[in-house]
Amino acid sequence: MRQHNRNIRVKIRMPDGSFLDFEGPREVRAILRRLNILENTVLVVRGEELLTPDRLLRDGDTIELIPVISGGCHEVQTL
Amino acid sequence: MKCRLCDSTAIAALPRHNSGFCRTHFIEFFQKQVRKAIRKYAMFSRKDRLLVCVSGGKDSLTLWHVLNESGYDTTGLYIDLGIGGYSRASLEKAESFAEGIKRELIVVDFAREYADIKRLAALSKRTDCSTCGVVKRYFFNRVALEQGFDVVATGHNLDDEAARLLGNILRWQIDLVRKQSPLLDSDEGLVKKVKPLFRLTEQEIAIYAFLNRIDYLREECPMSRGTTGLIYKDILNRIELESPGTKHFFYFQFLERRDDLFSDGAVERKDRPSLCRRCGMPCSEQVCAFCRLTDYLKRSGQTPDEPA
Repeated sequence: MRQHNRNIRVKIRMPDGSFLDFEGPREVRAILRRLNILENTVLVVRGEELLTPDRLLRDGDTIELIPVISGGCHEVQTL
Repeated sequence: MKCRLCDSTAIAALPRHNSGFCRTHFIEFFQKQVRKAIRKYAMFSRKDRLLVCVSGGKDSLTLWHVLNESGYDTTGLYIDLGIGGYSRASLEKAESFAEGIKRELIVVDFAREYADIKRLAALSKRTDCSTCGVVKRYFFNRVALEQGFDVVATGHNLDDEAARLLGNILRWQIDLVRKQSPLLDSDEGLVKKVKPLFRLTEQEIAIYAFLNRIDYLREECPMSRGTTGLIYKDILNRIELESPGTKHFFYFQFLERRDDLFSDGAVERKDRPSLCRRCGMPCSEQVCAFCRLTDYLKRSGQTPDEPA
């Protein structure tokens, strides 16, 4: 994993808007693991397409990671 | 991965169901889970007027979308809590969504009428999230009562409910565990509250929102950072990856066994709610938590508008 390296061709748009690059081909699952991101906490999107963790990313792909975990208020149910 | 029901490429992996679905079958799966939740708990019917509480985030807007698509009579409720740019952005999302589906959105401007939530939390020495919870629950019920809604619906999901259950058990807050349910029935002064998305995870809701192009606010509430709820969700998601279905099992088995767990009288039901002597809303003491909160404003010299 290196940042902004022109020789590496799978581009990841991170939730904070920054970009990372990886060498392809590589499974979505492997990239998430490298980034220490749990599979069940993001959507992985390529263009208009949602990708499951087993999908292979190839040179030239750009994907976006959309976080899905929200809220944190451990709101209790009282009157 | 292929769709379990056809040969198309799956767009959603659901390890807890040992399945993957294509777009069409995922949406069918999602709608079926919502129908199942509504039916199992007899949450509401098409004759009922539903007040859908929306924050501009993915869960509440998805809830409104799926209920509206299913032909229910829905109206949105947004409470402006005065959390700076976050509140402005979330209100815009809620308004734009309501306009898109041509449904009414009721807006309560709490920050203008009373105070912003941060200030109120500081004055009352409560946490931000606890203060926010009191205010939201108060207005959900009050607006529903005053405007004749039959049901209040919120976008709580499986992750929310499992995290809440874990938190309550870790602290052995048995009375809160007992009350945890996808349905809180109506009582004197209390409108029925339901959580039709309780069978769906946050990721499944985000997938539905993406597929239906629901324009929600991705930004998180700045006051929720580092809260225990997020820590519990993270722990449950880590377990879930190693052992798919655990989160589902944890919460659903609790719901199945709850009556047995509490049938030995170990936890007594509290008396029926009394009514607040100030505002007339239900409460467990003489004055409700909301009125006690706004007392802090009065004492500080900032007099809020009295509830109408």
